[in-house]
Amino acid sequence: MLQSFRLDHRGVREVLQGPEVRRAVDDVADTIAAHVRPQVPAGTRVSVHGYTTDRGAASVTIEDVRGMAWQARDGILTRAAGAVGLEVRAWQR
Amino acid sequence: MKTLTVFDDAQAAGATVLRTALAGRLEPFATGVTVGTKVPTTRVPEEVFRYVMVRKDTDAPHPSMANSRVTLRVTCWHEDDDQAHDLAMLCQGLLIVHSGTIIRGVRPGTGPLAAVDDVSGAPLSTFTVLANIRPRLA
Repeated sequence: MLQSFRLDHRGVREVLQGPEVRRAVDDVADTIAAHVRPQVPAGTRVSVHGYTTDRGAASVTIEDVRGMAWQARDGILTRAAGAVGLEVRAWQR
Repeated sequence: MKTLTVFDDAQAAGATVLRTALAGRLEPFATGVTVGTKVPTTRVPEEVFRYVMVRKDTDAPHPSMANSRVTLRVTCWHEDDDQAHDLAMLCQGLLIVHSGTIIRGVRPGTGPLAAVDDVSGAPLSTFTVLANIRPRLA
């Protein structure tokens, strides 16, 4: 029977900002980028940038002014995210 | 033995919701709008082009098959940036308040975000929503 539960906020933060989460997030972002690259014209750069907020995070960017149009028309980013089991939502605290 | 269930076409259902709801709207930017599920073959702004495209991007059925979580992407072409945005905002709201036999409920995903059609140069606005889809006994 549960007698007491105390969430270790400092420990959770340490894990979320730690190297294991960093690696896991980077791997997923790399996989998403790999799904996007065949969908854009040859020579178009698709880059991955890791960063840290209260946890490890990463962005996938199509480095082309037409990127937004490709997302609007073909959903290349949302589909690539969905292919690795992610759901795309606006960031909300 | 497991119960055989299927999910109806969320993309077609989303388009039907918007087609029906937009037909009853009086806003000037919402009149004469065509709703479809494919990229339009012509996108010439001079033809007073007003088009809403609904596409399913992802589909995640729950292992129990009691629900499927779908990402619907809605892209709105219009004559100018402001009307494209206003039409997209209206479509987003119309989807979010919808609850029906196929689409159980809808929550916001991303956007609306402005963009320019790289083929025609026409203004557009795009957003995504997350829809929960009801199963149907087959």
